[in-house]
Amino acid sequence: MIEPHGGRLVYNVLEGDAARSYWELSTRLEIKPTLGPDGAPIRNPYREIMSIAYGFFSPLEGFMPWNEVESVLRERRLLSGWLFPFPVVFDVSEEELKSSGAKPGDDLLLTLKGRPFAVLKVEEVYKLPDRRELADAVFGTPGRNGEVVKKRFDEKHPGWLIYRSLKPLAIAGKVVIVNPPRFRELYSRFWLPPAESRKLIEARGWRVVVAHQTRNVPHVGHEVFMKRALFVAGGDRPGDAVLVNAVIGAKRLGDFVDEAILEGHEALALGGYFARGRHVVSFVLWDMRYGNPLESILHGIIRQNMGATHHMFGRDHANVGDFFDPYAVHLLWRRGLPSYGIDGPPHEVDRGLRIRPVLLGEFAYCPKCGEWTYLGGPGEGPLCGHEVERVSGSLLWGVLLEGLRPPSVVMRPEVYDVVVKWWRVYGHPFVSVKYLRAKEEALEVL
Amino acid sequence: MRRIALYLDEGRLARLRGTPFEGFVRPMFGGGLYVLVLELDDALGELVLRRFPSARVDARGFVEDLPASFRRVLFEELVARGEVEAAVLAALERASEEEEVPPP
Repeated sequence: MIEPHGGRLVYNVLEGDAARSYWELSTRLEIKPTLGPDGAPIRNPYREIMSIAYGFFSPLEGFMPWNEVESVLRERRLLSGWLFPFPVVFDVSEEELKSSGAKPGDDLLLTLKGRPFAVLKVEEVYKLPDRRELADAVFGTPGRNGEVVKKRFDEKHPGWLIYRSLKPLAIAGKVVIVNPPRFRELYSRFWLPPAESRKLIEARGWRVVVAHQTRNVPHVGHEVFMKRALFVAGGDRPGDAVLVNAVIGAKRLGDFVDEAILEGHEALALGGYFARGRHVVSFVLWDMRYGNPLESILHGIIRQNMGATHHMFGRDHANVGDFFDPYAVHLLWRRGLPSYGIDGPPHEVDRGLRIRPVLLGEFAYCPKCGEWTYLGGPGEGPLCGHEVERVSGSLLWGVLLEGLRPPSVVMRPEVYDVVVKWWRVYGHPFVSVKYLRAKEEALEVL
Repeated sequence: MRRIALYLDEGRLARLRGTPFEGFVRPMFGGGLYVLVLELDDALGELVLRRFPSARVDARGFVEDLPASFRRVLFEELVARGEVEAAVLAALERASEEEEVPPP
């Protein structure tokens, strides 16, 4: 079994009397979302607490002190030296800090929806620098990181906007969940934290498990991508299983709804497109930073901690807009990104990852061959010589909104049925203003 | 020049038969789906973009993220009017930025 990032799986979750002893703490603070310029939630720190405490982000144990933030920005490493791509900070306003009464040495009870949730063992309270500069330092600039950054980040980039919108102060310290929340139905069905996914992988005797990052309902191109990646990872035989891991967090208008993403992937196995047991659907809570190469490191960490041996990375992985080079992730995993302080591929540097990348280019449908074909990635040519047809998000958006059923070579009928099922529930096939409001009010947990 | 891609199934394709657009329809994915690409001059394209703040133009000049109601009404107007500019202007009048889209 592949070892967790940092060598030890974090599990900071307490139950029973030991947990309840924290519930009456008077030093307490209600967790509030980060709001964008229009007042809409763009991040909720409760998701980070869940992912830290259940070990998805191992070896990270809590919110970073300032010198660790500096270390991450300088060379993308924690103070322990292990690779980690993003600052993870618990930001508060002056009023929140004052009303909570929190100071270094305290146990701060964090409440969620008014109920005890987690304890933050306060190590440090510090002032964040100018958040615009912080956001630039997190993602880079064309001047400093010209190898992959093509355009200056701004409010149109959802990850940059998260850092730009942080409150002025931060509280650092280890987090321990003291009242594990129950997931709403559907999410509860796909909740597979690292300790559990490792048990599953061990029980099934899998040796090659390829992780697939998703924030989309799968079309056939995704399915082909997963199957090809299994062969690449397996070498002379296909790998054992695909671990689909959806990132569940703040949404943007026009995204697919979370429920359709999870059940859409599940439909591939239920429909027999993957043999049962070779395709596991799960999720992690995280408000995507769309950091492309940086995000790919976090994805590698999360899935390595879950027990995956390989991670597939295609074109535009965790990308939005045209800020990053579409193949920045391939560049990172082939030779590193020195401008971010990463001098070699993340799986080859000291205190780096153990999960191995499967780097693939684009797939498209060839009407003449009558099948999906490989178009190639950087430095690679296409597999066939015909004119091909790409399945883009825009194409699916148009087809679905016009009330048309996508051809089965584009979307499996079972997956389309899932899309329609949730369309009936939310009145729209994609994330609408109504969906956004409801989701961030209810969250994924009860 | 701006472009709008309208997608068609067999039913919609049949409704375009005999209109000036029939010859411009292109099959996709081995015939499971068809596309009609409308070309709009810059002024008309700007009108569409101004009307729908959510819309954007992709690298190939296609206007994307248009509301469903506009896309659906535009098709109806094309069939009825047989002319792109008149159909786009009529669809701009009738369409809305809807919160809900009826499922199929």
